[in-house]
Amino acid sequence: MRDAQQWAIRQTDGLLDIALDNMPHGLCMFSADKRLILCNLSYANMYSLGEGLTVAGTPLQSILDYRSQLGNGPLHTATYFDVVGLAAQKGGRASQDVALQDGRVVRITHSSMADGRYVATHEDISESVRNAEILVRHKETLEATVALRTKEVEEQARELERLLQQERNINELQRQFVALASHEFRTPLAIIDGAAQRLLRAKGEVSSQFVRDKAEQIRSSVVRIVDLMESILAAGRMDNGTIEIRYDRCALRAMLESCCQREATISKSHRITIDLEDLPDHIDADKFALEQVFSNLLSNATKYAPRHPDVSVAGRQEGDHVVIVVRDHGVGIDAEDVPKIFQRYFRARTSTGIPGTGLGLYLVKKIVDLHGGSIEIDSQKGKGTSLIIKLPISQKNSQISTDRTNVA
Amino acid sequence: MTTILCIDDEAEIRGLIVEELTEAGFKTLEAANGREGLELMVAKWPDIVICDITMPEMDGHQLLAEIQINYPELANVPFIFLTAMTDKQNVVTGLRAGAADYLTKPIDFEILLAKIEGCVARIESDVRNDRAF
Repeated sequence: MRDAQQWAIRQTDGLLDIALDNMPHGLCMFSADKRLILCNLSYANMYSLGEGLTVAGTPLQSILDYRSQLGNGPLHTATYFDVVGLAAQKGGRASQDVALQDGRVVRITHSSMADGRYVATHEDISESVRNAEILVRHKETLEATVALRTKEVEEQARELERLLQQERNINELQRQFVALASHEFRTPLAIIDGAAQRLLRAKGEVSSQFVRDKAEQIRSSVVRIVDLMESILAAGRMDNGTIEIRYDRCALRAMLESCCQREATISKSHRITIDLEDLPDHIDADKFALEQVFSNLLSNATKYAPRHPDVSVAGRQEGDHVVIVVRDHGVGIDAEDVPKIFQRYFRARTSTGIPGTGLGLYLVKKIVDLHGGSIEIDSQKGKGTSLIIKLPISQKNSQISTDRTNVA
Repeated sequence: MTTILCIDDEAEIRGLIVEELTEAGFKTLEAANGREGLELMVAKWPDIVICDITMPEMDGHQLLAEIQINYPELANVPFIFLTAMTDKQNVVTGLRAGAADYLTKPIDFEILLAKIEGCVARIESDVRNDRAF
């Protein structure tokens, strides 16, 4: 019986040796005083231990010293012993992943026994650790990319919102413009229609003076509509960059005088004083464009000063420029509105109740800019407004100046 | 004789309307903005007011509001807007504020006269009803 049992154990011993040597993990057993009791082939191979170091009784420290020399010892010796201590303390099993000098990572699992001996398995988990690290790096890269894209999208959204707001503002201004333009067209049309109806409906004998008056009203209203149309068309040309400035010898003083005369006939209640003696006779300029500039400024000067009849136009030469100042004592402009006054469709708060389209000063500034000149505004609410226009006397560089600012 | 106050900052339009109304047998008063119009209403008590909207000093909406709030004795005077502002918002604002009518420019004088005659007929029937009580 006994023999049979021992045989069976021996048989099993032999099989166990084979099994241990063929398991993929390293396995070792140490005594309480940390001397090797046994180890399998995988353990020896893992750390390239020579035969001298796998015999029973070899101190663990010798194995570790040897491994350090070979360059496959634990990176931090202290952590290596932690796991042993922990396992002993718990009286059971403890695991720790230990980094080696050669870059591998080994998961060591210790099982302590009551008498202080212990068994440990060593599993090379380098690959899965590497994979996990790669995964972490991927995740970090991904997170960084997502964060970057999110930031970009947020920025785009903000930009979009800003553009949308801008678009809304432009739409609102355009909506106002359409209402104002409609009003501006309807007023002279009402005069034309009214005058024509009076011609048709007048009772009794009609004098030739009556007919002439009505015809004149009709004609001056037509001029008003044409001017309005021109300014709207000019604004359109400004926008698509097709406006052209043709420089010619422009008799500036004579042109200003005729603009003032024309305004005086339109607004009979205003007194326009002119002081243009110091102006040179001619400058290089587009006569028609400048006429538009000054008839606009003069019309503003009377329109926005319904109760203040004095308007002055003064001109002088300053070096190689001319400076023309058109001044009124009318409603003026709020300081807040001044910076926006040359914007298309913009109308100052003080213009309430006074008809207009918000195109005039926009065009004026564009034309002056195209001439290489400048425009300044000096205004005080309730006190009046001065517009100061500075234009070069001669245009040396180019014959034709084209507005390309809005052309993409 | 029925007196009509015509308020418009465009002297030519005002002149043409006044000419038409005078020929139709009405007495007319003229004002160039809401402020002047209000002064004339207080001073002369016109029977009907024809008023533009876009005017300096005081516009048509402001004048009508001013009358409703501060001059209740003038609030019953028929107030007709005659304006180049054709947008719905202005029409609604004007009529809500108590305007008798809202007419747009250009205006057919026959229609303008018809509206005025309608107002005159209403004023007269109101007067008859007052007497009946």
